[in-house]
Amino acid sequence: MTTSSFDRNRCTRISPSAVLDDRLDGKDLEWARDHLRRCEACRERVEDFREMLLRVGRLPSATVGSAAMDQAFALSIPDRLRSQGGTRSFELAPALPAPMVPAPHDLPPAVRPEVSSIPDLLTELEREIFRDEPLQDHPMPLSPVPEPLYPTLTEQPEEIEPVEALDAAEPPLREVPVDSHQQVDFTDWDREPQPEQAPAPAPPPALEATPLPIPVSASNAVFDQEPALRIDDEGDLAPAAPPRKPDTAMRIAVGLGAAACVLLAAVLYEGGLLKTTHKVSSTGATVGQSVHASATARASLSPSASAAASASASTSTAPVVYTFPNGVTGDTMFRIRPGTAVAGYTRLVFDMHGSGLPTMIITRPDDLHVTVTFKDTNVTGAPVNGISSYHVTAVEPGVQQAADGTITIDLARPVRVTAFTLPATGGYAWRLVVDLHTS
Amino acid sequence: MDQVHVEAPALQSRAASVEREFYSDFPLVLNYVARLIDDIDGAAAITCAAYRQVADGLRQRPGDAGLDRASVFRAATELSRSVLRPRRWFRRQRAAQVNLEDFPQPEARRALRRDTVQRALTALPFDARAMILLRDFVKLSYDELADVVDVAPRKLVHALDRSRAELGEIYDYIKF
Repeated sequence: MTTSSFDRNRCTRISPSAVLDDRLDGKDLEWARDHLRRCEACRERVEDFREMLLRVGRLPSATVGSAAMDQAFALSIPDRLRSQGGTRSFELAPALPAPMVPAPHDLPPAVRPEVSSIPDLLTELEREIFRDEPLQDHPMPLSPVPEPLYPTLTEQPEEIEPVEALDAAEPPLREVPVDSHQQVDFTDWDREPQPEQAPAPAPPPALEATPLPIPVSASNAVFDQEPALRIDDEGDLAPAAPPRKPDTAMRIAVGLGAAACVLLAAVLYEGGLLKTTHKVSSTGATVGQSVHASATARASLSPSASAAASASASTSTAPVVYTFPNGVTGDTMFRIRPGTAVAGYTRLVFDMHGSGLPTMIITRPDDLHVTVTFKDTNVTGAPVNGISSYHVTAVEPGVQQAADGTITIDLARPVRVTAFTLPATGGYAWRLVVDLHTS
Repeated sequence: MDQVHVEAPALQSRAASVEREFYSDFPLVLNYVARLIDDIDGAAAITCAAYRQVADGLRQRPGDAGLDRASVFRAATELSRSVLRPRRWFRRQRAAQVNLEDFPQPEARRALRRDTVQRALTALPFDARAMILLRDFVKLSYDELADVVDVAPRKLVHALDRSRAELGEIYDYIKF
């Protein structure tokens, strides 16, 4: 009677229905008790289910009058099954509160013996759990809440007015054990404004002289926020109640807050753009420089002006992280491979043709870029599409400046760079390995 | 002659039993159907039809057995299901209306409409709704419930678990 599964990392080993409906016995019951004592998630689930069970159990029932019952009996039961004489052999009680739905405590044990022991198990559990803290109450008490009598959907009209009178006289009449989620109190269905029934010609001076405490339903948190107005007293209390003002202030405050959020988001977004534009602007400056310097340099900028510019900027001012002064005249850097997919770092492997490793310089123009310059090597043929990871946003296309080729790696976050080289062995070419670690 | 003396008391005792069971259970079945189909106006017709169906079936049953409670609930559930089933290109079957005296009261109709738990119940699939109502509202025992919904008692726990969890989720979603 227990399940063995986890629901989104939440233990669901206990079947709440089995516990609440007392379907466990023997070892299962012992195990469930032991587990409930230790597992808070299961305890919460059982409590949630219990609340839902009580809510459904407390659903009000519509009263059927004796005349309607007789009519239904005549419609439903064939003549041959009716007692002689055509009238029923007993009298129906006129206005029992809910004869069809007995209160849970009054349930006959023969009909539903398993329900009667639900509170015992939970109470016992609660007692055992909080045994060491006798004075501390559990925030969600497991013990059964003493419930009022079952409410009915309909009450006799003549009983309605005394109920309201009682409401005014005795505030704790509305006892709602489960808090504000209760939608409407079932005990007084006539709370809706009924102008034809409530003319209420009460003397206004008495009301003004002694402001009565309005019996607002204390259980409803939504009603608690606007306690000052009652629908039927609106005319009397109109001058004393300017309720729209705080609402307007609240709306303005919320609006300002929303505007601030939007503004903040825009600033953050712009901040991200600013970095890009910063790069672009620096590129612009470099492009200007290169234009002034030589026409050939400008011609070589064709594949990606921005990348080239950032590369030129980086080579001129960026701090050098690694240098591999191998000095061999490289041939081609033909491939970039994302290496081992480990959470801690991203590995990029640059494969090169040629007789050896060229001179390579790894620089960091800023926190979010790493530039690899291959001396005397062609890098324009290396495909760079689709290289991205936790650390790498993208790899920009290779830029050839005279004999040197440059690859710029756009980072997603600041990283620590390590690099090493590998010789050509077996089926592998000459390689430069760049590891980008989470800093 | 002897036959007459033997049969007449049995028939009378069956009639008394039927009468007693009808008057004790009819409001509960009626409220159950009203909750199940979320329509208190159409509930009376379905309930009367269910009782009639079970009463007609008594002809085949020997002895003085009265109206079996589980049978009444099963018939009411099936009739409710058939009423809610779409027919002829999404047109629901129009159930015959039965007008009972002073039923339903406007308060009851209004209460059913604005009840949050009822709205959550209405959002449930039919079988889950029936199971929850029969267990938690009508308070049938597991054996009776298994008989009504035609599910093995051992599987009922898991079925109820799923239904109650779904109801709780829906209720938490719509309660404000």
